[in-house]
Amino acid sequence: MKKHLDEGTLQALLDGELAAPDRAAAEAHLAACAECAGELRALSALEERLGALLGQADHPAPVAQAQMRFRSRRAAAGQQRFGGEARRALLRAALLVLGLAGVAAASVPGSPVRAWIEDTVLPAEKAVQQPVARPEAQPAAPAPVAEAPAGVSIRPSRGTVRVVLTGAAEDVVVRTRLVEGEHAEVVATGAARGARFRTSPGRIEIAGARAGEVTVGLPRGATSASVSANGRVRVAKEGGALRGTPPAAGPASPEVAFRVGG
Amino acid sequence: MSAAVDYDALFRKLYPSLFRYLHRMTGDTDAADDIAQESFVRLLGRNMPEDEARLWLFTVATNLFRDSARTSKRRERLLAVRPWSPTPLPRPDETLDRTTTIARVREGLDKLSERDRQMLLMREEGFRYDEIAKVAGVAPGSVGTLLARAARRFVAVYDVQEGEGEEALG
Repeated sequence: MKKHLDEGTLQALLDGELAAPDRAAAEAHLAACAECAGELRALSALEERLGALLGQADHPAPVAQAQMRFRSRRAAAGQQRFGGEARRALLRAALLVLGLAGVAAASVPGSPVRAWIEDTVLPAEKAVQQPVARPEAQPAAPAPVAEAPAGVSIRPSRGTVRVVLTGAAEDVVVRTRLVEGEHAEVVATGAARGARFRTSPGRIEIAGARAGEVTVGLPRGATSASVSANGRVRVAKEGGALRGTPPAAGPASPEVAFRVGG
Repeated sequence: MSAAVDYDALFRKLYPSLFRYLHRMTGDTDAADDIAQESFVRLLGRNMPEDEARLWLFTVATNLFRDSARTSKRRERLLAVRPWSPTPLPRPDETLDRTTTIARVREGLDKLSERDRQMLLMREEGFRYDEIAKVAGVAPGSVGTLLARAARRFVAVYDVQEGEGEEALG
């Protein structure tokens, strides 16, 4: 028997943070080690309890009020910026007027300005560099970031696999289909990539998907498989097919899609 | 160009999560809103993708929280009053149970070190280990262990209080 998995590895496995080879090694160990499997279950239960307790003490975010405050602070910040720009424009104009007056005075033969230039500036042959007006520095546009999808996959536990979305926003769309092979997989794209993944034997939890899309593949060979969102079972495997709850009208489709809030 | 950023949409999307994080950090709704506002104001004029903006906001907010905590500690030393630990007052629509739960959760969070609390709460907002490690200033490899320990400690403190509460009732 290989040495037991440490707490950090179990936690990283739950949080979907183990790289594929480490995850495979950890899962292989868990399949053979009741002690570590027990530790993982305990840690998973602890996490669920932590999330539930924190949620009970939360205060609703005062979004509407806060947004009004933010708008007025934004307006004030904009005015300040405008005020600064206006002052700088005035200063530039004043310098331009002075410069023009100087040139005009120098062009008049016998003027003291012209005499001063002939006596001091020209003999030194100083190259007077005209300040070149630089275009306003433009912040470089950020390079488009390749949005790598986030996802996890697990093997069913005793033929069973459950995919559970918790705290998912109403706009999240979940597409489920049956897949060949042993693994159940969940892939999040768009804003759903920010969701947190937790895996425990036969269970994948996707916590806090804010928007975007979650694609679920349930292994065709699983005895029992389901997808639930915010406490309601929405898709279940029945025999060799998927059934949405409530069942969708229309012809059977290889894919069952639902909107969390729909 | 910064004009292209829809700050209203960004605010609506990111404020609830930032507020929840800060409220859990501070236990104070006003402080949470103030810090969140200030963080959003500092975001103005910066042009970055939403995911980057989100981590940026949480980083700035965490630094602002640290600064405000330091200031309030200094003030406490000067005034020699008891440590700042706002007790949530029951609202009329809150039952006694909920008020007690809130106080126990607060105690559980306050017993964690600032860094552990921040890491645990950032994880609850769905940040990845590498992002949490960056803001907390720890090695990414240690995040799992630190999170597991912090979660255990939080639940242990909560349970001790629950036990005490039951004894007092019994």
